[in-house]
Amino acid sequence: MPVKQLETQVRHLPDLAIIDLKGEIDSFAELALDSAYSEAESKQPNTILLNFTKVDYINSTGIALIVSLLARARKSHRRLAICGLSEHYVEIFRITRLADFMNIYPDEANALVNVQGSSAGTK
Amino acid sequence: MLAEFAEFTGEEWDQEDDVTFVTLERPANSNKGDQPIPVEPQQIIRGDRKILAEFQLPSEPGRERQAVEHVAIAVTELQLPSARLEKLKTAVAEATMNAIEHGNHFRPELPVSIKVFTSKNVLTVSITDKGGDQIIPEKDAPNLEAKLSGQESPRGWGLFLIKNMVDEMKIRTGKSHHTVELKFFLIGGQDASQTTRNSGEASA
Repeated sequence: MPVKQLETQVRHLPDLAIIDLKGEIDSFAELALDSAYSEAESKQPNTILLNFTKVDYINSTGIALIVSLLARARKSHRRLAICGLSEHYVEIFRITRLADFMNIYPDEANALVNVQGSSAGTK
Repeated sequence: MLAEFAEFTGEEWDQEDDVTFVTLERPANSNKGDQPIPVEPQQIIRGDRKILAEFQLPSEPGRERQAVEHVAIAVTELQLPSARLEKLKTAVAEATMNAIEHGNHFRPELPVSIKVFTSKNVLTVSITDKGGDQIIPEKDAPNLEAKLSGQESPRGWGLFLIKNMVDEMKIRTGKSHHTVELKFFLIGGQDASQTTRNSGEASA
């Protein structure tokens, strides 16, 4: 059965790194997600933004991977933010209470306004 | 089969000839293509049930995506609201993953059997593995703080997600199989989940 590997791309902005995700967040995504996160935090940003606009599937293993990233971010006093989730997955993030620990924005533009605005002068 | 044989010989008679029963089971992964094995013709009526789909998948990682695709196609005629459909898809994916991992232990030769049917305004997806009398512990909601602090594994969301996606969930266990029934009320459905347990041979 063909496996859709998660594709990632990391963009570095001042005090912010954006990880663009494309594909599925499941057990097959672990290496790609970890690797992208390591690249994102390499420049010590205040915030790492996960862009889910092109993600069409997240399962419970994917939720666990996101929990791991959140734990990693909190350990290094970094904020993890989310954008581009579909309504269904926003609800799942609420149900799992991940939404209590991460800001969720509807899209990247909205996230940039809020994240960059709130982190200005904090580093 | 033994019961039928006893009926044939009758209570007062002994079967004197040696009889050898041979049973054949088609392994799920004998399917060389990439499609689930249909078990019965689709779109048939059995009593008050309308079977929308019935198929098997080998117990391999990632196969839950195929289950979701086939169930989604099967329920097209029900015209579920998109939010409802998304919940159905998540519940099916998680229950299938559990069957593949915890029921069949990733053994491809053991099939996961999936049946989709409607009855009395309830849509049911039954997912059966070969796990037998396994007991799935009733867990409280996962403790996110404990997971974030490393006190608990970050995993363990599957059953919790399922319960939050369905109107009702039933678990039936038998000697050789384990069935999870996901129920969605087609009229008056609500998001609150309810779990009931029923031990004994699966009737689905």
